[in-house]
Amino acid sequence: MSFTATLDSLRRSVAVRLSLWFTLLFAIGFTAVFALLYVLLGRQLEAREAESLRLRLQQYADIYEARGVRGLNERFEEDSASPHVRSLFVRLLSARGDVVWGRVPPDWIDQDSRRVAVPDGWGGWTVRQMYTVRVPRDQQQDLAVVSSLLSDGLLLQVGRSTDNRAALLEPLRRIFFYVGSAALLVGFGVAVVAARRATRPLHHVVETARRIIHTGALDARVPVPPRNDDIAELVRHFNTVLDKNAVLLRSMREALDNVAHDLRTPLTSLRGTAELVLSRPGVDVAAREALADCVERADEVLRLLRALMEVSEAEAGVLRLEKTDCDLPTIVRQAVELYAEVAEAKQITLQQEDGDAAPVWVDGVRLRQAVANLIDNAVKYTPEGGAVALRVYLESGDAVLEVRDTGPGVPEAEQPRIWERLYRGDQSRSQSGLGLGLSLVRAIVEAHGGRVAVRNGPERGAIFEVRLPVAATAQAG
Amino acid sequence: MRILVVEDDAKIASFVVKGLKQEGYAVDHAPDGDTGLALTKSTAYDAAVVDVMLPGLDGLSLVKRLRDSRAELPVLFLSARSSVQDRVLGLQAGGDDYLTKPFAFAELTARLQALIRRSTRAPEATRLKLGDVEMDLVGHAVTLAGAPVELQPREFSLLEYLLRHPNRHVTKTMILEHVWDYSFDPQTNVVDVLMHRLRAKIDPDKTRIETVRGVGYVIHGNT
Repeated sequence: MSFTATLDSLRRSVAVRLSLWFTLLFAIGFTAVFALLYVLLGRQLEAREAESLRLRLQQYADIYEARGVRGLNERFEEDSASPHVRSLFVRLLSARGDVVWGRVPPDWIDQDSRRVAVPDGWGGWTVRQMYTVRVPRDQQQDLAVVSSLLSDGLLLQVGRSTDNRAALLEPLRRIFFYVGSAALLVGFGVAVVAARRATRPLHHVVETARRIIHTGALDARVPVPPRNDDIAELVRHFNTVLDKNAVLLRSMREALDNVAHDLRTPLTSLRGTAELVLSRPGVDVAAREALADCVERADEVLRLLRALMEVSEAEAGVLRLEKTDCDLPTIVRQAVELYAEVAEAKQITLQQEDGDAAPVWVDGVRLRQAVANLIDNAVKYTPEGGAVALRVYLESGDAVLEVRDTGPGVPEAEQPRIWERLYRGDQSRSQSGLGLGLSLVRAIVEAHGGRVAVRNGPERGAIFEVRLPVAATAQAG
Repeated sequence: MRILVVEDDAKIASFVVKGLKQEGYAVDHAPDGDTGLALTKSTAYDAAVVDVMLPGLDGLSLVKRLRDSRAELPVLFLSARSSVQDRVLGLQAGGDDYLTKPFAFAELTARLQALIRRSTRAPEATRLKLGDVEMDLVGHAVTLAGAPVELQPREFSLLEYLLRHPNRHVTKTMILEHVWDYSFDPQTNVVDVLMHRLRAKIDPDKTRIETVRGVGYVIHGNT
């Protein structure tokens, strides 16, 4: 199977579609849960950070109120000396935004400090006493700054460089990514397996239907799945329909057999009795002619009966086919041989052109009959001195037989009707034949899962085409 | 030569019996399977013609019983059913040949003769001769009154078939089956056309091959 065919069958597979939907929903759900977790965790971290800064701000404010800038200075030195405290930023701002006093650690960017740390609208503060801001500095670090209005109208700011939230949560994101992808892969796999299991009975239904269509195995049934769900119900109903169908076809076949038997028996004795007299010498000439007419008419009726039976059986799908591995060009050659002398007598060039080898799985006898009927038809309609050519070639997985003649062709309006039972085109009234030849061709070809078609040649003549599926073994090879 | 005919349809039985007697056989008729089986036990037959569908003991079971009792009697089945499957069933039951109704009487006698010949194991000839027509099967050569005649393979095959049934009727169906291995009636009469060509080469004075309307063809001559 080619790549596109595989892709196509995947697209059509219900199991794969279900699995994809399932995986998509799973991915959305998983991402949503993670996003929520991520945001909550981030907020929590930030809140704790702000809380500790605010606590320190409060302490510094109290010290300033009690002991002024000197007290702040002392406390700041003390705090900076103690371990576990990262470099602190402390400053006092006047209402105009000037720095009254400040300690800026060396890793702070000086020129930025004013811009980043002065809260919006400072100078006009009346209601707000506290202000917290985070300023991203680089990939790894943020600045967290809290500001508070003091009783003498100055603004006290305490800041600290802190780990960037994104950087802090990076391991979490990475874990999410790995766990999430693994979960998605496993989920998709599980979904495919589960969906396949669930839809397996449907595949059985399709396989069984296909087998019945292709091989006519009327007794084929779908195995009922063990679980009693709606698919099992579908399978049961499908099997019931098959049962009824098989009974109908069987009774139809029996009815046809009985009709054929009841007609053949009297015709056999009629024909036999007449033949016996004819094969005896010394019978009156007139009686001889009459009896010969009887035999010939009986033969005609029997031939018609046989063809009608076959067309009916094939159309009803009960034609018994003895399929074997055959080569289509060989079958064609045998049929061509049958008509070699007839064509020669009519000075028609009947030939099989070189083509492809085309292995087919068919009932060789019946297919040869179909091909012979096509040749018969072509030779019949081709005027003396004309040509009938046959060619077999492969086209997109089909074995195609083309029969071209140089006759008058088939009028477009008649083309679909020539395959009908007992239909005979106007021009053939003078010719002999029962008008069943082409319907038998179609019946036989369609019973093999093939198709027939007719069109006119570019200049003249008709082109009959038979398409049969190439045998499966050859396709694989 | 004694033949047993087991056939329930009186009309068919009648013309088969009459025809076989006309051919010089001694014939017994049984209208059902049980009678037929009883007759095989009391009489020694050279061949039997058995209808598959019979009242009581059917044809297939009859022949199975015969074979169980190790009777080597050659059996030709008659049946109104023509499918390959039915034919296979008939041959599996122990039949030696199978003829589908409707059949030409000439074909019945030809097949019956073949069965009897096979059971007596007559050696196959390598030369066939009828009147002034001679055929060398090994060298693929034909002479007419001593003069060589060039025949196409299918003309040769047709002549061989006629020479193997000298002075007997052969039908178009039989010719189709033996010359082309073709068991269906083609719509155009391909046999007529081939026969016409053969006659032009082997029977220019139109004395050897006769067309019997409604029956088929006969090749005449002294063997």
